[in-house]
Amino acid sequence: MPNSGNRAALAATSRAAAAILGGYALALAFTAATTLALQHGGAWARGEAMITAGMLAFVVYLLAALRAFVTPSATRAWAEPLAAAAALSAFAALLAA
Amino acid sequence: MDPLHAWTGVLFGALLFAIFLMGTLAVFDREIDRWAQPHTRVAGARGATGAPLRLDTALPHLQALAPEKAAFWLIYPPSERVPTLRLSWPAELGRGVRDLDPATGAALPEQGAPVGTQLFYPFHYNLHLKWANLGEWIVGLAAMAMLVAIVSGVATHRRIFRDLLALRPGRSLQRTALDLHNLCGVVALPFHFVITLSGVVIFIAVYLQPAIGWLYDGQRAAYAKEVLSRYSRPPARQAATQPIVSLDALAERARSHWAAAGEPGEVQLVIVRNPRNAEAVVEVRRAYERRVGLEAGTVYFDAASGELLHAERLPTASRVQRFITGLHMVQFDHWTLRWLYFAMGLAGCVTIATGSIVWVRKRAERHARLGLAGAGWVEALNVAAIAGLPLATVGVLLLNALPTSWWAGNGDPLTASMSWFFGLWAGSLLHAVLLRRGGRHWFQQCAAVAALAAADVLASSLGSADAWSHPAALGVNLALLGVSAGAGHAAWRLRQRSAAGARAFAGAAAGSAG
Amino acid sequence: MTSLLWSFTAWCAFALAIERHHDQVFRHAPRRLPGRAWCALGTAALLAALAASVTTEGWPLGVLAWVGAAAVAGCAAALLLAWRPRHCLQAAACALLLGAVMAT
Repeated sequence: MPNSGNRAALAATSRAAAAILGGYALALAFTAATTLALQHGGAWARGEAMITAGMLAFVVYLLAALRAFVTPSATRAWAEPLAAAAALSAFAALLAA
Repeated sequence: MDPLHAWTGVLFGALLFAIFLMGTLAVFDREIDRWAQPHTRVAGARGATGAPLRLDTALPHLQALAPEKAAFWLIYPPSERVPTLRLSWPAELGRGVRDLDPATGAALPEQGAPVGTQLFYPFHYNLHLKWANLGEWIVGLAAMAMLVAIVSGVATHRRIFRDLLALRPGRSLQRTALDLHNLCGVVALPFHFVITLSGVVIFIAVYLQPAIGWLYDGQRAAYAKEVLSRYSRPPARQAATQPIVSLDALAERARSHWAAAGEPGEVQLVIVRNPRNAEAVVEVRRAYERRVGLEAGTVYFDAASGELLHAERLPTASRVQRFITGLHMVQFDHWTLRWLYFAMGLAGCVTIATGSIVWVRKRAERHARLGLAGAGWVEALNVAAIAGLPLATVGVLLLNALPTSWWAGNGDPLTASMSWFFGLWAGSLLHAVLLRRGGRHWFQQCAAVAALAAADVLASSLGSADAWSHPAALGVNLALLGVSAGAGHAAWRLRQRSAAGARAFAGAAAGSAG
Repeated sequence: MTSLLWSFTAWCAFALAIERHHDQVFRHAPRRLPGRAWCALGTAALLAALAASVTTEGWPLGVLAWVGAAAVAGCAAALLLAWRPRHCLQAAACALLLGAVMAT
């Protein structure tokens, strides 16, 4: 069925975009939040906290990207990382203030 | 997971093959430079002449050669892998490079370009696309795709261990290719995963730039200072009034500083930042020797007075990142391990290439059944990626083995090499597209690779006396012979297969017509 | 070198735990106990290879060298099984002995 084939392709592309962009947003938010949390909570130096958070962020990105392809729907594939990113960003903004 | 693995491979396969191939070549980038530039195969590396090294001989050359506004000068003392005294400075396209004889301090006549270190290696991490770090971003995206492909590939293959060591060479190309894909993918699985992830970690500062900018309020110097323990100061308004202090004296002080800190070593690199300026800084970096982590223990001196400005002291987390970087970049002295990295890199290339070949063949068969033409185009892209890139590589190596004036005109050989490299690659794509019906493109390009690689060895043997006695040149020549043999074998098998296929096709056509 | 040889032994041992390859070498499928025994032997050989590598090279370099050696040995074992499966057992034993000799 060409129509359902197109819809499947669209859904897959959407998931891929969610993996790439949503995952990246999550990685950035994770970096910011974790850095500040280590600084304020663990009394780490800014540089050490930053680089640690950064290295972990890529693992988070990979997991988020994989997750985007197993969520129940393509919408969830976007919603999950963006919601997590928003939450982490808010947390980071709070810590920075 | 299965379609995920397939589509990641389809979309990023060609790019990943290029990155992996260039990365594998970069393991021996300095040896490739020795091969392409016979004038750099001097004896007399560190200690051979017995006389102490004179770095100061580099300064007058740099004054003359580097542009007025050059932001830095680089001086590499001779080492095992680079036996000349090498000078470098920023130029319009990449770097200007000059080699001095370490014994006499005289400039060596130039032959060929440093294609290993300045063409293949940078291509590996930035695709020579420097605008806004676009190339690095693309490579980063490809690296994440590779990680996804690895995980999904393992998840897909439930019988992964049952089928692991099964290699069935006699059967169809598809079967053999798939077996090779599984084998090379899994035996070197830790390598593939770690190399890819570590590659991404190297460029944290680029990829996480938005977060870093926000955390540091845009102050990049603060980031470099805290995370990398770097020191920098802006140039002053006036030019330097005093000459630069003796570099040899500074090198000696750096060596004693490192010894005192418990991490002795030799000088690997001296950088003079803002050399013609009053606020010039001399950085002295230590060689890595057997250390995996890329920590150079950089010591910073004022160029005019020789005052010690700063010594690198990395925080622990940064040392972890430097270790991961070092895992990827293989700058330590260990020949066996270097060869193992090369072998595993080749395994990675085979994994990616066989994956692409298997997928495209399956699609091509389906398209042939359905009467569609799309697969032909994709196969042409595949040919250009898997055969075309090696073709461009051996082609540009051949040019560098020939007298420079034949192919570079009056221009800089490195720039000319880059143009030829990308030109040959584009030519391969054009050839593949034009021949997309019929499959002769695979055979012709494989045959071309075989012929060019053999020509490389011939040109090298004729062009220099020590092509078979100098270890670096010998290694590259042997590798090229291997490439030639491999590509030749592939071409021969393709010829056989297409002859058999043509007979079968003719038989089937006769059968169906009857 | 020892690491490489012992890794090769390990891969051959693992192979013999797998039905298809056991069949190639011995012409019959393995029973449960010998299958597990081969697996255990393979694991032991792989760990011994790691130990050998780390003793010679020190920690980070030793582990890296072991990963590389294991990869190369795996390929070699696969090639051997593809073309000369019957020699697999002898090759594995030789590698074990040769590795032991080189270690001393």
